Amino acid sequence: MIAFFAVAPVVLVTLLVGLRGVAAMRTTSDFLVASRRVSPLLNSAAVSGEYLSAASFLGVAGLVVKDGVGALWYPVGFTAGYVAMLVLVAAPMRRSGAVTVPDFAEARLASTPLRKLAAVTVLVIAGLYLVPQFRTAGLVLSVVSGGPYWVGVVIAAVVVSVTLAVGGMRAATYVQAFQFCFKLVLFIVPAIWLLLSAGPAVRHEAVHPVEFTHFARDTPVDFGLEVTLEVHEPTTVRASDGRVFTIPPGEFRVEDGDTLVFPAGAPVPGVRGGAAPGGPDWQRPLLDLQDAGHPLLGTWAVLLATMLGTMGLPHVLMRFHTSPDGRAARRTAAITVGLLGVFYLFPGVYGTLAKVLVPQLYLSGATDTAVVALPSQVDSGAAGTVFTTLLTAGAFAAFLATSLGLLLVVAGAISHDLVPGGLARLRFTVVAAAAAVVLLALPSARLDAGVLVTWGFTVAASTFCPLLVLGIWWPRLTAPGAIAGVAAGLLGTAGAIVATLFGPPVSGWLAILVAQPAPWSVPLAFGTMVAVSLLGRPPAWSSAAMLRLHLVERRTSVPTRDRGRDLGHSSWSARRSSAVRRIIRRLSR
Amino acid sequence: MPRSNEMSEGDAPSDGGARLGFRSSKTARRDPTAVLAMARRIGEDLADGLAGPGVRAAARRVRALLGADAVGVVDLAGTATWSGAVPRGTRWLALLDLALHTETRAGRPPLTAVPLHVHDELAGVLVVAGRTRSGAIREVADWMVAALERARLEASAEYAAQAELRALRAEISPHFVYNALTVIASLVHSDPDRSHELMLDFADYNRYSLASHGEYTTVAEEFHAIETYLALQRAVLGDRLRVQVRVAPEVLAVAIPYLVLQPLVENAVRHGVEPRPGGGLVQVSGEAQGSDCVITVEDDGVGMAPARAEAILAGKGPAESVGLANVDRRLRTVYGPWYGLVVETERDAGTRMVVRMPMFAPGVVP
Amino acid sequence: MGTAKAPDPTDREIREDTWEEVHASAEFVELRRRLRRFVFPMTVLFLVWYLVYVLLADYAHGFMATRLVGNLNVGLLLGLLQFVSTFVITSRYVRYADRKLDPLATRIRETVEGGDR
Repeated sequence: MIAFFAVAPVVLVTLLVGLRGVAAMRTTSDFLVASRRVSPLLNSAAVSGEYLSAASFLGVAGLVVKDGVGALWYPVGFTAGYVAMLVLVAAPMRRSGAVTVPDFAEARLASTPLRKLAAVTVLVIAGLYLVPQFRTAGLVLSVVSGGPYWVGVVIAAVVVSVTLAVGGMRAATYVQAFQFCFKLVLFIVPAIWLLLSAGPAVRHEAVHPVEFTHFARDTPVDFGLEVTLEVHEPTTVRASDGRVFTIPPGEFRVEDGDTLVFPAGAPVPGVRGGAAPGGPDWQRPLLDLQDAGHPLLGTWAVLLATMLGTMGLPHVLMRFHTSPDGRAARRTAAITVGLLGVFYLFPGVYGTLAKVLVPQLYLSGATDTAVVALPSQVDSGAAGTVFTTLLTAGAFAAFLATSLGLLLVVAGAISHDLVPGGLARLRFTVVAAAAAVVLLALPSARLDAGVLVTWGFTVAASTFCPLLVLGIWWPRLTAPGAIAGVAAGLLGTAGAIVATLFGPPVSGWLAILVAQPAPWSVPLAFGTMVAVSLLGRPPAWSSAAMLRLHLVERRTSVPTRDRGRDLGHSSWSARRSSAVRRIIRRLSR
Repeated sequence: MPRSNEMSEGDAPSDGGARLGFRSSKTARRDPTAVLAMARRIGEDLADGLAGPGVRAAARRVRALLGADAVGVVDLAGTATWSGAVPRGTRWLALLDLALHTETRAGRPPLTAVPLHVHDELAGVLVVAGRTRSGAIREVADWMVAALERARLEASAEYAAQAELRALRAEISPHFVYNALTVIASLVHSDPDRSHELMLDFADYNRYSLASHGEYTTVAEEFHAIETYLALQRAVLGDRLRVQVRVAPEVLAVAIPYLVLQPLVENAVRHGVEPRPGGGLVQVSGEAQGSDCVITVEDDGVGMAPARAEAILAGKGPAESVGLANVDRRLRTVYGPWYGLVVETERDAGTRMVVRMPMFAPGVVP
Repeated sequence: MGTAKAPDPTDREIREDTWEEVHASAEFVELRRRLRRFVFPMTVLFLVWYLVYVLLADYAHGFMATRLVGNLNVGLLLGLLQFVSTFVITSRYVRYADRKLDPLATRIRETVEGGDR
């Protein structure tokens, strides 16, 4: 029931804003004659709305429960990525007129193979970002409604497809901006309530974390997935069918769907590959990936991937095209940094509270649902239910906003760049893409949402970041160089991901470099791009193409009625087209 | 004496052939594919005319094709672009002079100067030094002429398109101008504020339509122009014209060809709503669909028979309906054959015109 | 993409002269200098700043745990500084671009446009 009350309003409101949003600019007898520009604030709310996915909403808090305070480096990286985008990419990209990175590749280098390669990369990045969204949505829905995981995933996919088909993205800017405000409220209000209602003991323990070694009280743990526990001492538990038995020391496998109740005082078993929350490692502000013992490298790898990968995320970059010019694009990026900063103040709150109240989630691997599980721990009555509903709605809104944007990007890349000819059959492609993502998400319940998303960032950092940075700032970039660089980055990261998923287990710093290849794949991509470009010669018009990216555009402001009309210097009066523009047009045949 | 501004390459004679993949010219059997490819590239190099940047490459390729010692291409300004060692002495200058003045071939192998007549007009001279058959020289010269003529035709097509655009701009209906000014005049005393606004609208409208500027503008500007036009028409037609304009924020910044929407709106008002006694509603909406920008102009006026609409789009309509055909043609030229104008109409059932443009197309920038 | 557009015959001279002029013009050199002097050092600096914090957290554990005021320790303070510095960098860059880069770029574009009269 909660699920329905959470999901349905989100979808309805999204549809309404989408349909009415266009109507909001409707004018009947009186015109909206004032200049129609999208204000940077509105656009940055849209960027933030599209960007804050379920991984941000739930995943970071879950990671804090599991991996400790160091998980807060993720939001730092996410936000810092926007600063990188602001400084290096936002304004020039807007001036190029390109909507997506494949467009930019075509505008800057005029190479069709590069465009196709870029489109394939878009699919990879979007896929790595979409699968965790569907997975998290499926998990949350299944936890909240009590159904199996796959049902949750399928429902999520159906909702997204229907929303897109009915026209939920018709005024995407308004839809995403609204989603951001919605999510912000739904995230902050419960956090404040939780802090207030949790009680001073909980609050104190949140700030002074204690290692989770023994269960404080009788705790049922739902194992939604099959998990192998490492038991150190004989532990008596009660199974879901009422049986009481003792687990001997050693490994113990729990089937998925089982629920075990640990009595108060029972020692907490270990989980293979994890450390108990609250321990000394947990408190250190470092990310010890894979528990390989190299937290420095691990943290750096994550930071590098997130900071450099943000600029390559396809659904985010599209939003910047809505800005009227480069200057507005810059402002949009700057305000986004602020909005995200406000939002990311809160996952830490949820994470530390969850560590105190529901640390047993790390046993079942369902830490992503920590946020949603919190209210019922604090208040088992009506208020708890209400806030659980609110948080579920917020999580679903996060999932919906990002998935809508990403699916559109995927459909666009497929129908525009990869399938030749003809009119884009958008709706069909969208549904097909959603189905493909569902198929990928179903076996992915075991994977961490944070890990998958970070892989998406890593691919973006190793492919699109070099392409954008060198394309915008280095005149000697050639098409073969770009192709070589993007291919190198793509293959490198893809290889690392496959090796992590299916390859033999490695340990030590090698494990980190395989699991988070950013420290070597980004330099590899940059280096390849530079080396191959130096071997060739850029076309004669590339300097002019680059020049265009940095010069301010022709002022094309639409005159407003409110300002005094200055008929002498109106925007359209006899502006000659610039030689530079003509060059580009002529040379792009 | 023409100015000889030599830019020779200084490579050894007859070496170019081997470098470019040909065997020695004298006795080799040429691979027809290679020959055709070479000829095609010469055509591309000459796309900018004899003074363009590709002339040097063209000279090089002609030299490889002929297997000559040196090839020079001279334009009417006297600038000579050489490939290979420039022949010593001044004999070639004398031959060049002769060719330019008599406009016929001068000299004989091993030193020949052949004039190039583009559309029956002298455009330059081809000078060939080396043992080559004069038949081969003649063929190559003819080929170069064909390439130059094609380039010139393309330039003419571009001029024609621009001239048509200018004609379209100037196609403001005098009837409309008269009505608009009359209405403004009538309001001067009774509603001076409105009259002031309408005068500014009129000025805006004229400026947008008549000013000369680039080929592309933004959706926001084009919508603004539509609105000024509709404001004026509403003043003229009064309650008979109802208007609804909606546009999604994502497409406001998209670059589109200039004057693509205005003819559609004018058509909707003049041929859709105006003839109808009760008036009608004109709806203009713009939104993003995937990565395309879709703009719809719809009216519930008198409509027309679909066959007539087809004829108009094909360009066979009456003279004053050339706007729609022009829009259709320009859309196809800029974006490709799939992006033409779509018109749905039926008698007494109104008209709906849909324009679909990719949000990004290379070269389309305002 | 549309059909090939044949070039305006006067385009070439304009393009080559204009580009050469622009490329060599003092203003463009200045623009490039400003961009290089600000953009790249800024980017490198802010990347390094984050990485240094991580370095300290790993190796200078004791230093980071030094208590300053109440519950506040050095690590927390530096973390807050990181947070604040993100916003500071952002706003400084926007101001710099508005005040130093944009006017110069506008002037250059106007020169390019004016040059083809």
